[in-house]
Amino acid sequence: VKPAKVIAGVILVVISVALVAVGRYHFGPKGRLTFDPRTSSRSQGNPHAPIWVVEYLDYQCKSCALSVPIIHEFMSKHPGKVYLQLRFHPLPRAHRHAIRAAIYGECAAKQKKFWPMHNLLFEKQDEWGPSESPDAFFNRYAVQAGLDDQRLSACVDDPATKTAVMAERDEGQAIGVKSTPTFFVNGKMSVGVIGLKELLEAQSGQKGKEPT
Amino acid sequence: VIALTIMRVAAALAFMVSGFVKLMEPHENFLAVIQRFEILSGWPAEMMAVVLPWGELILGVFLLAGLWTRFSSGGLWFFSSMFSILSLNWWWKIGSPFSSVPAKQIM
Repeated sequence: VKPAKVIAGVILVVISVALVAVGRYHFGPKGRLTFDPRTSSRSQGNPHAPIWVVEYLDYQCKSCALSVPIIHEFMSKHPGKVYLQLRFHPLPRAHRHAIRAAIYGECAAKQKKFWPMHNLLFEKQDEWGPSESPDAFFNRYAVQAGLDDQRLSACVDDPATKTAVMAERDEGQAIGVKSTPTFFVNGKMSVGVIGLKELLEAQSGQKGKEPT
Repeated sequence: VIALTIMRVAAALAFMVSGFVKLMEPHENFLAVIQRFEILSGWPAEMMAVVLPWGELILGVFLLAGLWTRFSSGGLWFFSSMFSILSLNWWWKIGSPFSSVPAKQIM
């Protein structure tokens, strides 16, 4: 190995590392996950729990629907130890009704009926997902969830609701959320449902043990 | 020679961009892609998610600069072959490897 080549190689590696550092500074994730009081109506569990789970979701994403029973089972196994907070991260390029579904979710949250609406949106994903205009389905779920019709219409038609949803998505993007579902379990990021169980068990310290 | 140089530069740039783009975001995003193939999990998958983008970038830079071209092109060939085989294997079993639903849930 010629010393000149090694020196050139080392210089190129150093330049590459520097470029990545500069790139990350300009284009990389900005800021950290922080507590968001706006999502309190989309939260479940004990806020003082040792395990904090924040999920960025898209209602038209299949994996997000698969994560619902995983989280539910984990919370049932560890009562009082988990705090779950849901944040919207619609991906309209992949899912054309994702923003609209998130708007309905947000409006349900404003009426303190978020969880029944949330569950219905995921349960009936195959029903409203392929439709051309999903509002009729959403309105039917809203009735089932017990939402006030007039307040719902006003909220859904209010441009501020969409702005709030999109702002939440932008905040997710800023901290590095690119796809859904993305979880932060005590601040540790996990993308998709495959690594979720592993991460939850690791955080609970219950790995390899029977749930108590 | 010109054609080979063009191919070398094009391959080098493709891997450099691929590595650079992955390094601009949290490694967990790429980790999800690795986990989806269901070959690696735990710390080996995590290590792969951290190391592989650097490998793509550095070997791409070496290939572009004409340094250790056999080694760097061999390394990049290994990366791309590995992912091609895994993707084909997935397609054979399931469908698109970039679907957001894990194989075990589909099957």
